[in-house]
Amino acid sequence: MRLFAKRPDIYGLMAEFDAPEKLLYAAERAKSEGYHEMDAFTPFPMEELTDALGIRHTKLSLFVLCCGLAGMIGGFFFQYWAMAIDYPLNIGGRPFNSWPQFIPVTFELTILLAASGAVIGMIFRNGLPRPLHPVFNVDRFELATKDKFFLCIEAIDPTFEQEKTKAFLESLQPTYVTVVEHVRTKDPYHHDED
Amino acid sequence: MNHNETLLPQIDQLRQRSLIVGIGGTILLVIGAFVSQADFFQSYLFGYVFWMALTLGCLGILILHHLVSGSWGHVVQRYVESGARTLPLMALLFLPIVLGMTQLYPWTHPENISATYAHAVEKKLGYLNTSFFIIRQILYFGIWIFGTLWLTRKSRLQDQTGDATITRRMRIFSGPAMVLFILTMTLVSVDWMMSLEPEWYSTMYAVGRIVGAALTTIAFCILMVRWLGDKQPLASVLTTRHIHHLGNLLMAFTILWAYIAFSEFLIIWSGNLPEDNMWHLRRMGTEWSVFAVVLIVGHFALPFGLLLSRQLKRHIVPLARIAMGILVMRFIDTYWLIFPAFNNHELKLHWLSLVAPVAIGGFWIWLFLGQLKSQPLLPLNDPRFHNGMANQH
Repeated sequence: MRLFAKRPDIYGLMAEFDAPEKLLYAAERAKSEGYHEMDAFTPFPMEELTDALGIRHTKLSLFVLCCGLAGMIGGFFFQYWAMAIDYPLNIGGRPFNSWPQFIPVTFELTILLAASGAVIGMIFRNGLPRPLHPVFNVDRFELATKDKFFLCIEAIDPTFEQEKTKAFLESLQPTYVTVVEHVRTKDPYHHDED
Repeated sequence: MNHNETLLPQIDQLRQRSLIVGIGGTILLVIGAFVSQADFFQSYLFGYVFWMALTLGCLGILILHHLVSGSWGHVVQRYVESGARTLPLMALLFLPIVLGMTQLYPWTHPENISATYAHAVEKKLGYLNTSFFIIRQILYFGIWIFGTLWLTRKSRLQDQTGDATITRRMRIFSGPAMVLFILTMTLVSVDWMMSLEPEWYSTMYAVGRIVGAALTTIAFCILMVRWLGDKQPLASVLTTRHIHHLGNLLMAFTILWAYIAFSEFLIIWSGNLPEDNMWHLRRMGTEWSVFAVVLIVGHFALPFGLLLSRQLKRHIVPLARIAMGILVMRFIDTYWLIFPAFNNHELKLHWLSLVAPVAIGGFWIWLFLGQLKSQPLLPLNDPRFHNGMANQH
């Protein structure tokens, strides 16, 4: 259980690359070395990274499906209960269970619950709200929005050993390898590697 | 790049078989026509409408592709072009319907229409009469064949000359073409199918037939990609993204079909007026309701549930199985639309109603494959798509 495991001393190690191909190669190498808990940061979307990082398909869709089904079943049977059981009304000689009339509301409730489930589920599964992420403790990280490419291997990964992982990252031709602290402690103008 | 030499014998063999099926089916149809003329004409109309939905769907998707330029359209362009180019043959195959018109359409004998509906039909006779019907058919086929030949010839010209401006001219052509296409499709749905029951009308009817035609075509394209996708030249171009797009389109049109079929029913059901509800009563208040249940499950619930899966939409083998199921359902849907008009009360299945679509389909596939092999399987010089498609970013 990760919840009760001891928190590692650092958040992880971050390598900076100056070309997308290098990052892609590094991510693939890291995956084949057995690292799982890692993430990449790029100035523009790179679809190939999903495979390179070995990110599994999100379980969110299953959650959304369940929400949708709950909306569908709940929506239909609430109308059925109201119109056919609790307060049957004869409307123009139609049957009490006039199911075609129930479909639009059933549909709307399916969509409502599925869409709300998708948005709320996405926010929580992404660990949001989170005011500050440890990767921002690395000063050069702001370049991820400009022209640099970052790969961060997290210390909670079972394969992670600070010295070995550092040596591994340095073998991938990065421009820098930096320790990512949980809380910013050092002089912001100081780099480990300088 | 242009041709796959190992593919040609396969296509030729399939063409030969289709032609044999077409000729064999025609012989059976002629025998059937002598046995029972009414059954022959009804079955023939059914088979014709089923294949015509695919033909016109091909034309519509072709026009749509030139308007929106999706990459999925690039990989199926030659299939829909070849499908639309069967139109001259289909125009010829329309002749039996002209011959059987007086047996098929009640409005050709307004004096025989029951007193209950005579009043409603009387007002429509200015539109529904034999001479105007034939004039309209000539106009429809004229417009469709002109549009098809213009678009497909320009595309072939681009293959040869590499002139990039042709793409722009095809796009400009396709704007008005789409408007005319939807208009003619609306009218032809009324002429061929809705006027089988001239006492009834629904403004939603034609939309349903147009969506049905599009769905048939997308399913057909997926089957073609299943067959040719792993062979050159398509193999070097086709990516998972294309398959995903086609899967999404299949799903979208499945939902749209269900939406239109259901809203039409819901509105009529809510009104519950005797001048509106006979069409659904004939199809859902009788033995024909078996078809309705099969369609709700097989044409909507089942494919919709399966197509929710992203994995399934991204792999051509399972996607092609669903597309095959959709085509079977399109067949059943067309049957359910047409035959209750002739047999109001009991469910009727006649052997000719299976022979007719097979016979017409034999000729259709024969001509379709002939058109397909007469040109490169992918458009060559379309500036929107490089045949390598390497640069996705």
